[in-house]
Amino acid sequence: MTASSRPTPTPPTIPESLFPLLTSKAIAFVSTIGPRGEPQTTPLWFLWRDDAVQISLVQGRQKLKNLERDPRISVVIVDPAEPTRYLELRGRIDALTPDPERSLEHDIAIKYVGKDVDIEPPGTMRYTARVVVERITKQEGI
Amino acid sequence: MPALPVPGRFDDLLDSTILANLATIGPDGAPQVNPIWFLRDGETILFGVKGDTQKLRNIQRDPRVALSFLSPTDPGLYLELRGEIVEIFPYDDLSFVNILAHKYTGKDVTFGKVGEPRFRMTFVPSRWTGQ
Repeated sequence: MTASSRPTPTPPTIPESLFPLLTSKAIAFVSTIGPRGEPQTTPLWFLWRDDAVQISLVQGRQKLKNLERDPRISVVIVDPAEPTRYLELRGRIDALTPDPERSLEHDIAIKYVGKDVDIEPPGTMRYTARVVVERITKQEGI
Repeated sequence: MPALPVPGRFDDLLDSTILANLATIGPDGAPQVNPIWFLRDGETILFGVKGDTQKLRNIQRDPRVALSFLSPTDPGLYLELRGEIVEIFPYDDLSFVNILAHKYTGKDVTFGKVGEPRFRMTFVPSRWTGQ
């Protein structure tokens, strides 16, 4: 092992019963660490692809600035029909990858509303990130 | 980020029986989130935590938290409150958790025992965001 590599914990197993949340249209609560070390939470669309939660981040927004400073993240997905069913993925993002074609945001919009919509002005730079899960917490209903 | 007060258009969310998402800072500085029952009390938000939980230890170490509220029927209606826990009030008679239970279920809790340590948290927001 070199100094630059760190042991990768075995990724925790997401219970099968909660898997449908990952492919649902539920909106995720994404929490990051703010500039003064305080928690910040925002609702965000996401896409489950290649065995990971993937998110699209907008240039200039606080959430992106937070993740540039500190890659640690918590993503909570709650079943809107049964709020005591939820999954929390704790970990970090792997990297912030420029997405000038906004290809991920395109696919995310298709997932949620069936067409490519973007409330950001044309030309807005976006980045993609995958959530590397280190720990999960959950509740499978009452 | 807008200053207080929280606009009245969020009243329905704050008086509803949705769960709030409580974000705290874990021992290593990373964010942790749990859905919780809450009760609005004027300009403050009350919620409870059990003793010997990570959530309690997190708040005792760093009282800064974020509470977020998303309408289950209107995904465009969302509120995040950032602020601090200003009081951690211990009790062990189920009194406060039963107040929450009545809001959410209309009756006393069916879990928990008298004598178990619990804490009532008083949250005061300092900023809000939302849409």
